[in-house]
Amino acid sequence: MKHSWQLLKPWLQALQPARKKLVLGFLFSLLAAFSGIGLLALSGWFITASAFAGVLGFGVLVNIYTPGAGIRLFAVTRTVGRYLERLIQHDAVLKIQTLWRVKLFSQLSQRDVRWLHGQQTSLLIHRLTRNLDVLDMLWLRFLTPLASAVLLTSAVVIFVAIWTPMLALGLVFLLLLIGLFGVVLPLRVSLRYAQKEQHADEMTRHIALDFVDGLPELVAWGLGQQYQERLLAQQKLFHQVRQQRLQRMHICQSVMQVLHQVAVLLTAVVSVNLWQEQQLSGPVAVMLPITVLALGDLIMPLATQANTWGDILYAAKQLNGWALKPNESLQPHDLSEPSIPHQSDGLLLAPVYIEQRQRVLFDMRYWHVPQGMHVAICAPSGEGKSSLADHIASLIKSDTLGVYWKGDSLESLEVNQRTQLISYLTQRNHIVNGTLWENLRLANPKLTEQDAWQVLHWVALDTWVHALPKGLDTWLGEQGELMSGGQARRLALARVLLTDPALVLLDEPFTGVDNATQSLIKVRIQSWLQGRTVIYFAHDTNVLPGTHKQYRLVNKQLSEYCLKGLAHESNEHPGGV
Amino acid sequence: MKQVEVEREQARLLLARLLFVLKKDVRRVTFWALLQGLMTVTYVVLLAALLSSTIGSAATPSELIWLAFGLIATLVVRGLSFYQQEKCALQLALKSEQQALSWLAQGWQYAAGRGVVRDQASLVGEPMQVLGPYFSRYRPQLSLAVIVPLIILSVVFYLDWIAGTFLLLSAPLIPVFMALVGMGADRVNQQHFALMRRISGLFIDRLRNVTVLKLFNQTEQAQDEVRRASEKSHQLNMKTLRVAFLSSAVLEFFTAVAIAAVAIYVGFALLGYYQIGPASRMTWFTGLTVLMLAPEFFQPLRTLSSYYHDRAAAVGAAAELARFGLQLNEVDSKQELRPLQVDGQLVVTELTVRYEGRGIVLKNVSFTAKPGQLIWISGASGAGKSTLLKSLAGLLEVEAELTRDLQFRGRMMTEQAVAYLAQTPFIGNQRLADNLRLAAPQATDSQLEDVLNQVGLNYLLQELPEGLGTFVGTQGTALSGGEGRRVAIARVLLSKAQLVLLDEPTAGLDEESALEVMHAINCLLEANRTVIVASHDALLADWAAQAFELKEGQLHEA
Repeated sequence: MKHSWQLLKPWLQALQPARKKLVLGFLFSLLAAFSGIGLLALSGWFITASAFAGVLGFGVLVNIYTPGAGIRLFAVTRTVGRYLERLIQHDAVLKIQTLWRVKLFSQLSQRDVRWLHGQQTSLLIHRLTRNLDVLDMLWLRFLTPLASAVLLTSAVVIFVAIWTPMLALGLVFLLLLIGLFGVVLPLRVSLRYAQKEQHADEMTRHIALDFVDGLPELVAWGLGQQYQERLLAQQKLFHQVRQQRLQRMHICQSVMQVLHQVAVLLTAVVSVNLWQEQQLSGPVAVMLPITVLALGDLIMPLATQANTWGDILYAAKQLNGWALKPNESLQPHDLSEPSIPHQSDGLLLAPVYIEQRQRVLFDMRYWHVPQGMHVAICAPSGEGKSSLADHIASLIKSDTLGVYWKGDSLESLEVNQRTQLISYLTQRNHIVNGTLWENLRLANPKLTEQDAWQVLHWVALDTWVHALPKGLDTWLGEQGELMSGGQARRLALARVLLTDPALVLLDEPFTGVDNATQSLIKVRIQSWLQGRTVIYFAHDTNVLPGTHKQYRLVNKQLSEYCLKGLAHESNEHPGGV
Repeated sequence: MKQVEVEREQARLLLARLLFVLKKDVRRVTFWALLQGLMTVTYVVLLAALLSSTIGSAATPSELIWLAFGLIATLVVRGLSFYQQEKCALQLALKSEQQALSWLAQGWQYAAGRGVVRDQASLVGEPMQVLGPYFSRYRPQLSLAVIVPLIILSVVFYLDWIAGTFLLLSAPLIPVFMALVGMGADRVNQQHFALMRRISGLFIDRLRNVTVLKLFNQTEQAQDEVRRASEKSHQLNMKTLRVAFLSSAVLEFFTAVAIAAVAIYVGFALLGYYQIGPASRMTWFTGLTVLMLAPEFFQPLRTLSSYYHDRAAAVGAAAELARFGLQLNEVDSKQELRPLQVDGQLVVTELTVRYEGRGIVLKNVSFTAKPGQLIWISGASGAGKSTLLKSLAGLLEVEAELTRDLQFRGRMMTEQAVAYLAQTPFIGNQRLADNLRLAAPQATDSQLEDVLNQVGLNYLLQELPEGLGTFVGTQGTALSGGEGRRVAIARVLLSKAQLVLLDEPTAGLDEESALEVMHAINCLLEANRTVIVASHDALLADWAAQAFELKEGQLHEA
């Protein structure tokens, strides 16, 4: 219990600003449920009283107008209460959604980007939103119904106790049993199965993903059918888990239903007895079992609601795992070690050790790039170039890789100092869903239209943008889906060109850009690159502008090498050698 | 607009087809639900009888025993039928998902040559999982919502036709308001869907691109954006929800009013205020029964309206499924032809491939390849290189005569004689050993090590944390581009495949890795396999026995 509280605490605390709405919504849900019970109970009392006065010939005079009005009142408050409850509760839930999403976003954006790595982004994002959706149930589908069921059931028991304490005691016993089958057991079932179920579900997705990925090869090989059966078998496994979980739930629900009816019967039998012994009036004797019957509306959904508990906790746990990791605090690296030259100039990495997905990618004592130098790191894709770039740009922090600029650790810099110092063109384009202008403005909030056209000219996008009916205000769609890969690449490059950094990291800058355009861009951006320290990352140096030095990855070390046909380019290179 | 209608039509078709397959199961669920409904009615009547015969009048002990016995029996039957209904409903839901997945997977296989987008794998998630409730809850409830109220109505009419008339009069109100609520719900669902997609789209988009936001120090601005978008959606959502809730409140209000009217009618009749028709003869038992049955009369309809969103969700999901994978009419297996070398030679004669909408892609392509030979096919992008490989792999339907030794696909499939490697060969999220054993399940560990040796990957056994048992693929330990291709080639070496088709095996690799891949391909030649490579890499010239160039769909010797 304490453990669950720890998991949910951060999320519940974030609800402070919405607490008025939440309380109000809860009160209305109580009102609606109370009126529902009241409507039935009072109707039962009323017709019995009428029967006693009328056909049964007891001749007791009843005031028929007050109960009649009461019935009408309950009918109205029930409807109005339910309407307001729904309205306010949904309002509150939407508010909760906003609060939680903003909170999660802020926490995730403060962490280094490693949580994004190593997993497929689409699967990760799916998991994230799914968990948020599950967590959204906490208030509306778990806490509120549970609390109102407990409160109103207690109220009914007290009401019964006014007439007959013994019966109330019996009811308490039955209701506790109902609580066992309707709440406690479903809670435990959900705790036991939530994680299992999600795992089985994800395995199915993974196999489906594999199947789609390898489809042509598998089908050509004649393995399509076999793989399809594997997929269906995995789905069956997932279904088995669901089945086990739900069957236990169905047993709980059936028992609960029977227990509730037994409670109604018990109340009826006891009331009849008491009426015969003249301890209860007839109308009351009818009203009591009907009141207990009316509790059914409140009690029956409990099992399903309680069964969400495990999923909610598991979702919270996963979200906490992503969002609430304590900020990685790193040991400063000791530069006084004699074998590492102390450099007060340019970029120094020391030590350089990167391990990713269980493989060591880099292992060297230090690597130095003098200021103003243009260098290229050449390695095949998938061998950690981008990871090195991420480390240099502090997107990933690690205590096995230290980054120093002019002798100062980047760790010691403020975020805005660091972002001003470094511009980094990542391997992925990262076009945000918005207009072209908004995408450019990310790089420079004070962007002028003139500057925008200037960099668009540099990356040879100006003619294309001019031809667009909406020009700079063109909507680019999700992940830049409305532009080609090459155009997106150039737009991402244009964003880098809008900044004024001392250190530039360009990871495969010309992916998807045809040769003619590449040469054009290379010439146009020379003046911007001049005087800055530039590191290119590429699988093939032929696609890069001239550089002073080139490195290859040999034995997890960067080693300098010379390649054909680049020396002459270096001569015209603005940086000079 | 038209596109939307076509999608809706396809969705309806898909649901109808699923329903056809699941008809019996739906009936079974309906049966148990109906039995449960009947038991509820019986229970209420018996309870009323018990109360009315004991309170205010004296029943004989034997009558009481019968009543108590009946009550307990109904309780037991009701509990059992509830359990049965839930059980059958669950089975039905799971069965519908299994059926849909098997159709989808069939459709994927059928479309393998034309390319299946990666995103389609996500259809296995939510879209598939919302189909279940439509069949297991909405469909049975549709019958229930008619039958149970009719039963109750006839009981009430039998007891007291005036009370029955009250219910009957209020009954048509319900469908009318349900339709209103339903339409509202539909609209809310659509708007809600589009909106939520946009809002959660923004949240997801900014998270996806959090790297660039951090690099440009824009995370706080993005956080504001997320908040504003979320608040906007909140407001708009509330607008539509208000309408939807109001209409369902009206429905509930009428239900409550009808119940209250019945209660008051019964009360006054019992008091003897009415002297007309059955009201004058109203008994205590009748009054109590009618009153207790009144809420049960409306309950199935209310349940149906609460299941309405299951229907909306299922239609949406079916539309999505139909749009992507489940092209129902095409799932029937078609026999395709592909070449086989019976006398050890691959002979392709006059191969023609025509795509719908793109015209003829390959025209009268003919060539012969001998075992141990590498055939290099070059050509500009879009010249039809991949099409040629895919048609040889049997992934595309081809026109005209293919080879002298025609074979039916079915036989080829069992023989596993053709291996096709896409540009980024398939590496499953499995152990390295499982990946290698894909087409040779019987291979021993030492055979695996042997082929890894051949393609120059023996170092992997040391470098990977768990050697052959290491999980690789997109979720596991990383293999570089060159390593992945060599693993795929090692896999072919283990298999019986005689014909190996490689699509751009050296693209995106540095020179060194490209050479390593070429050495691995050479192992295939040494093992006497016929290798056909589509590539624009001139490196292949040194290795090829024959070189061709594809131009405008025709093959020229280079």
